[in-house]
Amino acid sequence: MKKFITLALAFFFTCLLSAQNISVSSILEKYESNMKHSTSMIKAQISTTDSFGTTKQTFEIYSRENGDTLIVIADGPDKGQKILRLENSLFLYYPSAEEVIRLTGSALKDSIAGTDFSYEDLSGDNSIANNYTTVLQGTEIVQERECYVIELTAKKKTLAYQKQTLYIDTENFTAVKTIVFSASGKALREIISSNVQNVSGKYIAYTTTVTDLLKKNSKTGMTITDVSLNESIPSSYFTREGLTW
Amino acid sequence: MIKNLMQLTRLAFRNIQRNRRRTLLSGSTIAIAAFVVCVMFAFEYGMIKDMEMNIRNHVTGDIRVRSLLFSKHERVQPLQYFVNGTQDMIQKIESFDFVEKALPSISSGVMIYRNEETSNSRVIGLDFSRTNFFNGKNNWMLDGSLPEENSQAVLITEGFAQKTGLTTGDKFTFIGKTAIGGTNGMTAKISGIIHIGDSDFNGSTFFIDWQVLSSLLRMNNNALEILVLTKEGITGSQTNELIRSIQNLDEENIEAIPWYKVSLLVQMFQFVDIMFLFFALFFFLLACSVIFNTTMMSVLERKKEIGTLLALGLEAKTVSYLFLLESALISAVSSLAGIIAGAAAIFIMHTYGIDLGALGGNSMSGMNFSSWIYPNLNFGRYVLVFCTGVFTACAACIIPARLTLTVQPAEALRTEN
Repeated sequence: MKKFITLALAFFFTCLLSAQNISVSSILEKYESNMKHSTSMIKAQISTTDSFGTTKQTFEIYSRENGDTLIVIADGPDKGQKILRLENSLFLYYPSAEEVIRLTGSALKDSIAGTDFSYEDLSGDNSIANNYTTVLQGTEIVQERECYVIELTAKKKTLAYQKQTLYIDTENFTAVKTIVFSASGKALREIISSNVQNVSGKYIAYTTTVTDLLKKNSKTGMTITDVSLNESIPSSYFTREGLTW
Repeated sequence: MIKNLMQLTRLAFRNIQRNRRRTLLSGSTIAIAAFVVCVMFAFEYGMIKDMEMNIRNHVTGDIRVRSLLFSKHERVQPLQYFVNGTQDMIQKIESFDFVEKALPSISSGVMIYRNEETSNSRVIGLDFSRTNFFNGKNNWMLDGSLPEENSQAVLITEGFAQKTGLTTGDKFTFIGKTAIGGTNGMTAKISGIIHIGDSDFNGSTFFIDWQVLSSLLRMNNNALEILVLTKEGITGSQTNELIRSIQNLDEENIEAIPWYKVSLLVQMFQFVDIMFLFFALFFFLLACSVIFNTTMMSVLERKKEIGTLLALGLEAKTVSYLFLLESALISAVSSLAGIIAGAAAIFIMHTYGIDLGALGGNSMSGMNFSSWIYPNLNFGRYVLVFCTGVFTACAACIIPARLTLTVQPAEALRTEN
């Protein structure tokens, strides 16, 4: 009898553990699936605040399923600048420059138009499964939403963020909060998303705030004003030559 | 007394000519010392003047005006701390007495982008129509011309051209960080190539119209600094008054500092000037050791002559003065000869310059020195060298001259020469 109870308990805990592992994978699968669309066109107002004041710019972001992304600064001090991500390369276009700049090395760490986003955020493979080991830490209430708390640890030292903590909404599987850390465990940035709306069956956070935790009074707010998913985007948008048009 | 002095002088002059070899030996050491000291001072003076000119024309003006916050965070080159209302501030500064002109200036690190590779460089934004940056013998155009106002043309230095292989008419793209934290880039056409003597600026540096650069770096048509050039002959108190007036324009946000307080090198060279004086003294003392020896020998050899003079009724101290006078005459003539030779050499070096770069002087970067130096010396220094030569020679002869006071006429007359 004693032997039977021990075996039953062992079987029960094994099933419980297996259920948790599947749960992390399925959470992340739903999370990433929500961000996958054949194409997306987003118009957003980005407001960057630092100790020197607030700068506002309008971005137009075009992307397609394979990760190719074109960002156009449509309005603001840097109007006319464009950023193109193609496979693993990043290209910049400046209206006053006659050639397209390919970004490499330390230049990737530069800020995009003075915001708290860097070019590095656009580069590399975004797949969590490929880049991070994941652990579900439980659930927590964030921004009045119940969220799964998932710890990500980088598999490669070359990744920009060695650790991340994702707070994923249990209902719509969008990231309500993300904290990114350096290798030493120092918190670098906090990203808070809200005003989630359903667009063509996908949940999009219309308001995002990025706070640079290393700087005083440095914050970037992004408010989406228009979203279109799965609509046709000319392929010329995602070419190096297309940047100069 | 004057008659006696003149007689003594004539006697001393005759005595000098009696042993020409000894006179030549004594005199030549003083002459060489005077020559070397003149050339040494001329080099020092020329280098300091060159450094001063470079600092004032290239870095600070006579008075440098910038944002207090920029100075506080200068290490990270914060472009957002520009001089707000630069054009207005320049107009106000130029309305003050003793101001010749006020010039806007921007200096920033950028990246040159060529063939998908980047390299670091520095860009300086200037008002080409009014700047003094390219004044002076050490700067000259090698090719092309200065960029036109408000054009996307740049002037590159010789070092930049050598490093990149670019020349007049070529284009290149550069990227810089902006005052709002982003980046911006531009393709510029090279209008000309210039040789800048100041080794701090002849490397990987290029120049562009300051308003074009201000726009590129999102500085709202403002400059990082205003370099104020004052009129000739302004006194120290007038400079201080001018600084106060500039400061009062925006006391809370800007600082106005005279050039000699900006550069630590200036303070160092005040110390170096004193060191050079000691070196000069050392050279003369070395020369004086020769005079000491020759005069001592002269006294010992001319004991009979001294005895004769004493026996004829000349006072011992007059004989002593005679020897001093001989030394004074030799040192005066020799110093003068050395100074004239030094002046001639300095004139030639000043006219044609000395290329320190060819002598391995390219390690002078960071000190605002030019690779070409034009030694120079003012009249006051020539007089100082002359007086030092005469004084040290006479001082060296005091002991031998005093030996004559111990000569006994009777005993001296019995001595063989």
